[in-house]
Amino acid sequence: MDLLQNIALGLGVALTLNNLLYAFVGCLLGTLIGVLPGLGPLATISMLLPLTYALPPEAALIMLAGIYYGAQYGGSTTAIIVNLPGESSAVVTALDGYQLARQGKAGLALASAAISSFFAGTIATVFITVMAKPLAQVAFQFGPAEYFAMMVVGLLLATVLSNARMIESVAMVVLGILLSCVGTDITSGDERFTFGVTKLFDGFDFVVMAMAVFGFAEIIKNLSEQDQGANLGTAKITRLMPRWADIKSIIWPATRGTAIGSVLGVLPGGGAALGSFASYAAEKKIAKDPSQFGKGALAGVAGPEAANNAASQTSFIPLLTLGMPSNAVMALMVGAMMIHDITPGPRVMETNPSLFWGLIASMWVGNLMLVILNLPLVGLWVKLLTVPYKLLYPAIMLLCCIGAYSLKNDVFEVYLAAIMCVVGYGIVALNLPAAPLLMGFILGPMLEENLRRALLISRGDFSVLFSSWISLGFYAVALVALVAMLAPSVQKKRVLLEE
Amino acid sequence: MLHREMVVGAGCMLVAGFFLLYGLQLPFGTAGRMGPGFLPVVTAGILGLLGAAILVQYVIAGGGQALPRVNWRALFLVTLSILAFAVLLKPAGLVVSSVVLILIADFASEGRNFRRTLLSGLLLGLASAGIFVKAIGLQMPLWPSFMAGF
Repeated sequence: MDLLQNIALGLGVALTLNNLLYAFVGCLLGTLIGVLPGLGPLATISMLLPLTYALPPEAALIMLAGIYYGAQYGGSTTAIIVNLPGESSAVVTALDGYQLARQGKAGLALASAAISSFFAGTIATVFITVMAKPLAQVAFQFGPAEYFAMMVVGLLLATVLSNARMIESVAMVVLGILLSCVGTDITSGDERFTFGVTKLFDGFDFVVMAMAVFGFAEIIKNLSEQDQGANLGTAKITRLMPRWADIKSIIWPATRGTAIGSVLGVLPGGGAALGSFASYAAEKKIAKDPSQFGKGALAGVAGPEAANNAASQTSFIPLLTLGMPSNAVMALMVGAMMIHDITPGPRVMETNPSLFWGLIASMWVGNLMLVILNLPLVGLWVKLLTVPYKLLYPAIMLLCCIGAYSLKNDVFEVYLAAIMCVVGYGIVALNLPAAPLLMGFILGPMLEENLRRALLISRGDFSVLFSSWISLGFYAVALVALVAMLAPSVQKKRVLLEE
Repeated sequence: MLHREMVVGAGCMLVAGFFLLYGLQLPFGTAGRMGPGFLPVVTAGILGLLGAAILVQYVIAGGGQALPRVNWRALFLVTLSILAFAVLLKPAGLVVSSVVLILIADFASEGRNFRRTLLSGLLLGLASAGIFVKAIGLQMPLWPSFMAGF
C-alpha cells in the first residue's frame, strides 16, 4: 500500500512536536491577521513570509499553509459576525451567515462553517493524496515547450477567469513579467534595467512587491474610504454546538460544496472564491425553498464554506505536481519554496518526500487545529474587530517595514518598498487587478527559461512550441475557455459577480 | 476630460516604451540563442500593443469611467513614513524609527491624539524589538548608535 505509506510518512512529519507548533502558530497568526478588516490571505501571507525564512523548509511551508487557511478562516468569521467578508471567498458566506447571526444564530452559523470546512478539508486532503502521483507522472512527460505552453495558458486563464476586464488583466501579467526581468540575466550574466545600482542585481524581491501592493497601497486606498469597519452591529454569539438536526441539514450541502470546490480549486484561476460562488448558486438552485437564501439559509453557509476550503486545498495540486501556481496565493508559495531552494514541480515528491507528504498531512492537521482553535476563540476574534483602523494600519505598516528589512538585512529593500508603494497605489487606485501582476512577476523567470530552452533545442524554430499534443492540448483548453468567456451571457454574469 | 481608460492605456504604452528603449540596448540574440534583451523587448512590445488596444476600445466605446480620486495626502504620508523608517533604522535603531513611522503614518488619517499615537508607537516599537530581535533573532539595531552597548 503505497498510499498508506505516504500518508504515514506525511503524518510522521506533520505530527512532530516542532511542526505541530509551527502549524499552530501559522493558523493562529493567519486567523489573527485574516480577521482584521481589509487584510486578505495575500496581504497576510506576504506580511508574515519573512518570519518563515529562518525555519527549515518543511516547517516554513507548514507554517505558511497554516497562515493561508487561518486567513481564509478569519475572513469567514468576520463575514458571519459583522457582515464584513475578510476576502473575496467569504463574500458569499456573509449573505446568509450574517442573516443567521442577526437572528441570534451566530453560534450555529460559525459552527456550521467550521464543521463544513473541516469536513471539506479532510476530503480534499485525501483527494490530493490520490491525485498527486498520477498528475506528477503526466508532468514528467513535459519538455520545456510543454512547460512554456502550460505557463502561458495557466497565466492567461488564472487572470482572465478572475477578472472581467480581460485586456487589463493580461496587461498586468505582462507588466509583472517585465518587472521580473530587472536584475541579472541568469544565462548571460548581463544586467538588465539595473542602471548600475548594485543592489538591484538580484532583482526585486517578490515579497517587497506583494507587501507594497497588497499592504501599503491597500492601506492608502482604505484610508480614502473612511467608513471602514465603523459602528458595525456585532451579533451576540450564542450556543456553539449544533443540534443533530442541524448537522443533518448541512451534510449534503457540505458534500456538494466539497465536490464543487475540489474540482474548481485545481483549475487555474479557480481557487476559493470561484468555488464558494459556484456552490452557493448550486445550493440555491436545488433548494426546496430558494426564497430562504439571503435570509439565513444554513445550506448557504455550509456549502460555500466547504467549497472554499476544499478549493484552497486542492489549489495546491497543480503547484505541487506540475509546478504551476493556479492563483496569486500559490504564486507566493512558489516564491517561498524557491527561497528554500525547492523548485516546485513533479520532482519534489521524489527528491523531497518528507516535505511533500508532510505538507499534505499538515493540511489536515491545520484544519483540525482551526476547528479546535476557532470555535472557542471566536469571542477574541470579535474583540479584534473593534480595534479601530486608525490604530491598526500603522502597526501593519511597521510589520511590513520590518519584514522588508529582514529579507536581506538591508534597508535598501525598505526604500524599494516605498517606491513600489507609489507604483502599487497607482495600480490599486486605477482599479487594476494586482494579483495578475504578482503572478506574472513570479512566473516570469520560469517562462523565459523554458522558452529559451525550447528554442535552443529546436535551433530557433518556433514551431516547436506547437509540436506536441500536450502543448496543443493546453492551447486548445485556453481557446475554449476564452471563447466561453467572451460569450455575452457569461460576460453579463461576471459583471454581476464582480459587483 | 481624462478618463480612467486613457490613463491605463497610455500608462501601459509609456512603461512599454521605457522597457523597449532600454531593452533594445541589450543583446537581442536570435530565437535559437535568446539574448538577455529578447524577452524584455518582446514582452514590452506586447504590453505596448495591449495599451493601444485599451485605448482603441475606449475610443470605440466613446467614453469611459471617471478617473478615481487620488488621496494624495495619504499617499505622500504613507510613503514618507516608510522612507523615514528606512533612513532612521541604521543610525537611530528600531524603537526610534518605529515611533517616527507610526507618528507620520498617523497623520494620513483623520483625527489626532498625539499622546495616544506616541504611546502606541512606543509600545509597538518595544514589542517588535522583543519579538523580532530578541525572540526571532533578526539582525537590526535596537537603539541609537551612540547608546550602543546599552
